[in-house]
Amino acid sequence: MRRMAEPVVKVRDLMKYFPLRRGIKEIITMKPRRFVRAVDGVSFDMYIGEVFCLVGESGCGKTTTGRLITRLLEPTGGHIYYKPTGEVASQIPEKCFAEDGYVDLARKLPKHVDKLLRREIQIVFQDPFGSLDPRMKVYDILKEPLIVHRIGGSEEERREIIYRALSEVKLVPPEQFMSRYPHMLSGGQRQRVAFARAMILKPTVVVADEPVSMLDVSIRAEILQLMLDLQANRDLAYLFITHDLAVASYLCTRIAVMYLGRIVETGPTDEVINNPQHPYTKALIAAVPEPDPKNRFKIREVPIKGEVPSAAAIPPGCRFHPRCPYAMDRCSKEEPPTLEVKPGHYVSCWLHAKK
Amino acid sequence: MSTYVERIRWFLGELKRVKSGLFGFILLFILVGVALAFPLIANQQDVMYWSGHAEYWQKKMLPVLAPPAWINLFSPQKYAVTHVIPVTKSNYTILNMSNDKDLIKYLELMNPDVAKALKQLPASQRKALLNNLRKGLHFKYLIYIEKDMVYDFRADIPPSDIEVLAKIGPIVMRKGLVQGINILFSRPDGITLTLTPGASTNITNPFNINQYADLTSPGLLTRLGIPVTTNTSGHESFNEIVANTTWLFSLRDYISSVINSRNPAIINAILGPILRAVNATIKTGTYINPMVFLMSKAERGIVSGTAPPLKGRYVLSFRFLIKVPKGFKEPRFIVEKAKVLGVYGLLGTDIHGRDLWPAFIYGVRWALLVGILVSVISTFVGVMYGVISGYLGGWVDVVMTRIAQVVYSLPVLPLLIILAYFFGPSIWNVIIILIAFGWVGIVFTVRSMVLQIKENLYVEAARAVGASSWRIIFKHVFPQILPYTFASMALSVPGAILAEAGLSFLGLGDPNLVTWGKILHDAQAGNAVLNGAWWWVLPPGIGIAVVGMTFVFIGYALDRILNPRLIR
Amino acid sequence: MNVPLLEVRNLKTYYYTLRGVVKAVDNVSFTLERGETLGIAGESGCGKSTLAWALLGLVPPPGRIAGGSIVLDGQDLTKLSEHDLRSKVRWKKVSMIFQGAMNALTPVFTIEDQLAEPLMIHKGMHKDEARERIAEMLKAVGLDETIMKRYPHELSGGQKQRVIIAMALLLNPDLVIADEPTTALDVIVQAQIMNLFKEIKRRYNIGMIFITHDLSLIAEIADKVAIMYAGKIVEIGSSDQVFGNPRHPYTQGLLRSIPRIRSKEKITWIPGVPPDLVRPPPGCRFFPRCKYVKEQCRREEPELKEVEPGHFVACHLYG
Repeated sequence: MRRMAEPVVKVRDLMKYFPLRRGIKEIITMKPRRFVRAVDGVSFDMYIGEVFCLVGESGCGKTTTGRLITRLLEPTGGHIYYKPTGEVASQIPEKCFAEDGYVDLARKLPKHVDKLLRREIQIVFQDPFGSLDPRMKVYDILKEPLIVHRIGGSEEERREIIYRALSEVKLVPPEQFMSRYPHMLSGGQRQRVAFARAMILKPTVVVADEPVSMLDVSIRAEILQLMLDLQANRDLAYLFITHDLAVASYLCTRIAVMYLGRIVETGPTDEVINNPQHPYTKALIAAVPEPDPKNRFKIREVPIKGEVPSAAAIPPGCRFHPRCPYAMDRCSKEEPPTLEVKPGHYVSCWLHAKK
Repeated sequence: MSTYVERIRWFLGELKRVKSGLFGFILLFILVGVALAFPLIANQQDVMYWSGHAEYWQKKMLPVLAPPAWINLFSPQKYAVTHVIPVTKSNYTILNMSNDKDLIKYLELMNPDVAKALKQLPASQRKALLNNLRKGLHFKYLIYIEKDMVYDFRADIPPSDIEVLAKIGPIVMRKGLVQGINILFSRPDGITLTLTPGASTNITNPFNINQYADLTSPGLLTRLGIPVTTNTSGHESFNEIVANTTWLFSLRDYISSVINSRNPAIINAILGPILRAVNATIKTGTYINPMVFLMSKAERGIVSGTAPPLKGRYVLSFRFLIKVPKGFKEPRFIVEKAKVLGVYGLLGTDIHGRDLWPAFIYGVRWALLVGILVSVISTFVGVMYGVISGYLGGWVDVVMTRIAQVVYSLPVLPLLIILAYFFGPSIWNVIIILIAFGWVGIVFTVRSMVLQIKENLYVEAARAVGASSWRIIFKHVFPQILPYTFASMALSVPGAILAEAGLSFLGLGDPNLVTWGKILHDAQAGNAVLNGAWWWVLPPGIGIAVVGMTFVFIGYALDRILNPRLIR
Repeated sequence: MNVPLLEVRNLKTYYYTLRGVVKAVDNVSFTLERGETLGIAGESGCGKSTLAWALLGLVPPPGRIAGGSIVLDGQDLTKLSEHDLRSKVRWKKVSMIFQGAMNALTPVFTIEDQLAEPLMIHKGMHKDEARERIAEMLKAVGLDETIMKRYPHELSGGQKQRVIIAMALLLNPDLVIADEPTTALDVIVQAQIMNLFKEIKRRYNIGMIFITHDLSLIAEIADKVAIMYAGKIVEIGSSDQVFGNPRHPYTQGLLRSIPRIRSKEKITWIPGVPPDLVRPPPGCRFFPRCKYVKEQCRREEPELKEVEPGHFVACHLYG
C-alpha cells in the first residue's frame, strides 16, 4: 500500500506512571509519592501501509505503550492523536476533534465514540494460548467482536463474515476450524485465530505485541508473512513490538528504539540497523548473535556498562548515561533533545548536539 | 430450536461416556420418582397425622420400637411378625329374669336342687315364688359374653405384645351388683392362666359369679386400663363403663404392671400355675420380660428368660358375666382388632409406634426440595455476588465484601431462634433462612477466583475488542467458575438437608412436617441408639448420604462434560 | 586417540502416559570429547530437554530410560543405582543448568547459603572453607564477592544466571549441561552470559552440552552441532559443517527461517507442525513437512549416514 502523506496516529509526549505503594514510614514522614515511570514522554508517528516497530529490552515500556494506544490502559499524560477515516469521522461529534481531523484518544470520550474508535485500533497478544478463551470455540471467539459491535444482522451473515475471516488467515477449510477449541490448535494456528479476531472488525491500526516470540522458530516467518499479506489487502498500519532486533530488521519499515520509557532513536530500518547513532542502539546491535560458527572463537564486544536501573529510580539527565561508554559531563545533568541527524532519522543524544 | 434438541442429544451422548454422571442422573431420576410416587407406595395419612394425633396411632395398634419385618431374612432366630389374630369364638347369651323360663334356667345353673324343687311345684305357686325371687334380684338381665382369640406361635422369639382393641359398655357398677370378668390365657402345654386374680382358671359354670373376678374392683379396672365414669343422674351416683368405651388391652403392659406391683398375692394368683410347674418364685425386684415369660417352656430358666420358646396354639379368652339392672341398656363387648405385635413393616416403628416407612419416603420429597432449593439458590446468589464484587473492583468491591463479611459473622442460631419466634417455624421460613445465611460462604472463594481470572489475557483481549464489563463477566469469567459452582452446589445439598435437620433438632423446624431431620431429631430424643433401634437412625442418615452422593456425581459429570479442555 | 568424555548409544527415553507411549527420545547416539561443546538444537517438543534429564537420570515419571547406554568416563550411567548417581555422578561429574533455573533460587536463603549447600553435602566442607571457594567461583563468573550476602530477589536476571552458572561449576564437573540458559534474558545480558560461557570453556576446558532452539546462539558457542527433530537426531557434525553445508531438509529449513540482522535475505518457513510423539508417522518423521519427500521416506526410517568425515545425516536423499 502506498504510504499516505499524513500520519494516521500521532503520539505526543505520552506518559504512563504507575504509583508505588508507600510503606508506613513514608506515609508518616510525608515523603512525596514515588512512581514507576513506565512510559515517560514518548512521541512517534504511524502511517498507513507501514510497519512501525518499537524495539527494546524488557522493562523499556514498549508493551505499556502498545496497551496505551489500544486504550487498555489510561495514559497519565500526553496525547494519542488518531485520524479516523471519512465514514467513521462523520459519526463523531465536532467537539471531540482536537485539530485537523484528529481525535485525542487520551481524553475522555463519550461512550458511543469510545466504542466506535475501539473498532479502529486492535491488538494481537504475545501468548497465543492465553489470549483465546479456552472454553469458547473458534467460531464463538470470532463472533464476539461482531456481537459487541452489532455487525451482521443475522446469524448467517455473521457466519459468512467469520468464514471469510478464517480463509483470510489461511485456516482452511474454515468449517473444520470453526468448531474447534483453542487447545486443539497448534501455536501457529492459534495466533492466526488471534489475527482473524483482530482483523474481523476491519481496524485501521493493529498493535502486534511480540506476536511470534512464543512460536517455534521455523514457523515465525509464516506469521510474519501473514501480517504482510493482510496489510497488502487493506489500509492498515502496524505497531510491531518486539525485543528481537533481527525480526524487526526483517519486517519493519521504521524502527524506534526504546530505553527506560523513552525513545532514544527513530528512523527507517536500514538507517537504524546499518547506521545506528545512539550508543544504546549500537550496543543492542552488537549483542545480536549470528549463525556463524566462527563467532565461537571471539568474545562478542558489547559497548555498554552495568545493568538496567529500575524504572522507579530513573537516572537524572540522559537516562542512559550510567551505562554509556561515551558519557560526558552534560549527560548526567540535562536530558538530551531529539535531533534529526538525517531526514527521518532522529536521535536523543548529546553526542549529536554539536551539529 | 433444533439446536436445543441437538444440544440435548449431544449432552445425553456425552453423559453415557461419563459413567458416574449417568449413575448420578439415574439416581436423581429414581429419587424424584420415589418422591412423586409417594402416595402410591406409602400411606399418606400416616404422614398427615404424624404429629399430635395420638388416637390415630392408637387405633393403628403398631408395635413400639419394632425392627423391620425383613430382619427375619437375616436372623437365625425368627421374630414374631405383627399380624391380626382372628376371633374364633364369639358368643352372647342373655337370660331375661322377667321371663320365667330364663329365671328357672338361671336357678338351675345356680342351685339345681332348688330349681328341681321349683319345677315340681304347681304353676301358681311357682309363679309366686319366682316373683319373689325376682324381687330379690337387683338385675333384670344376665349377660354372658365369650370372646376367644387364637394365636399360633411358630417363631423363635415371642412377640412384644398381644393387644386387643375393643369397645365395651355400658356396664353399671353399683354397690351389691357384682360384675364378673375373667381373662384366660391358655398355653399349648396345657397350662392356663387367669389374668384376673380371683377368677378360676377353668370356667365350669359360666353363670357362677364366683368363677369370675370382680370387675367393679377399682384396682383391677385401673390395671386393666378400662376407663370408668361417674354417673350422677338421678338421686344416686354410681360408676359405670359407658356405652362404646374404647378399651385397649395390652397383655404386656398388664403383666408388667402386675409384676411391678410387687404384691406377691396377686403375682401368685396370676402367674402361679407357671411358677408352680417349675417350682420357682419371683423375687421382688427381678426384671421379667412378660411376653417371654408367658410364652416360654415351663422349664428351668423361665424366670430369667433363658428357657426355650413354647411354640403352639395360644388362646386368649375374654369372659364377662354382666348383670343389667332395670332401666339400663345391655352391654356390648366388641373386639375391633386383636393383634400380635412383633417386627413390622419395611422400616419398623419408632418409640411412639409410628410406621417409619411412609415417613422415610415422604422425607425424600422434602430432602430433595430443601436440598435443591437451598443449595441452588444460595450457591447461585453467592456466586453472582462474588463475581460482580471481584470483577468490578474498586469501592463497589470494598462495600460488597464488607457486607458479605458482616452477614458471614452474624450468629446464625440466636437470630434463627428470634426469627422462628416471630415468623413461626414453618418449612418455608426455614428454607428462606437457610438461603439467607447460606449464600455468603461461597462469596469469598469465588471472589478470589475472579480476581485471578480477570488478569487472564483473554479477558484483556475481550476488553480490547470492546466488550462491556457485563459481557465479559457472563461470557468469560462466569464459565470459568462454573465447575466450581457445580461442585459447590452438589456439596452443599447434604449440608442444606442437615441444616434443616439441625433446626428441627432444636425445635425450630416445622413441627408438623415429617422430614428426615425430624426423624433423626425424634430418634435422638427417643434414645434410638441406646435402644439399638438402628432402623430408626440409619435410613434417614443413608438417605441424606445418597441424596448428597447423587449431586456429587452429577456435579462431577457436568464439569467433565462442560469443560472443553477435557473434550477428547 | 582419547576416550571420549561422553558416549551416548541408542538412547531411548519414553513417557508412559494414559494416552500412549510418548517416544520423547528415540534412538539417539552421539559422542562428546573432553573440552568440546556440543550444541543440541531443536524446536519445542523435539525431546532435547528430555535428553538432558536422561543424562542425569532425572527423567520425571511417567518417563523412563527405555534403552540404550550413557557412558561417561567409561561408566554406564544407566546401570547405576539412584544412590550411586546421587553420591558419585550428579554435580560432581555432571552438573546441569536447568531452563529457568534463575527463578528456582530459593528466595529465603542468601546466595552464600545456596552456593555452600552442594559444597557441604558433597565435599563435606565447613561453612568457612566453603566461603573461600564461593568467593572464588563468584569472581570467575564475573560477580563481586558482596553478592554472597544478598538474597535472590535483590539480584537482576543476569546476576542470577551467573550465580546459577557458578553453582554448576562449584564441584569442578567434567560435563556441564545447559538447557536454554539464556531464554529469559534480554539480548545484551544474553551476549554477556554467552561471553561468560566462552570464557569458562577456554579456562576450564570442560565438556559442555548446550541445548537451545536458537541456532544463532549455538553458533556462538558450539564446536559440534546436533539437530533434533521429533525425538531423533537428524543431522550431526562440526559447527562449520552443519552451518556451512547443511544437508538435512529440516536443518536447511531452520537456517532459512532465521532472520539475520545484517543481511536482507528473505526468510522462509517450514509448513506443518511437529508430529505427535505417541503415534509418529511411519518412515521418516519429517516426511509430512519435507519438500523433497519420496516414496521411500513414507515407509523406511532413514539411518544416520556419513556424508563428510564426521558429518552425519539421516535422510534418504543421501543414499
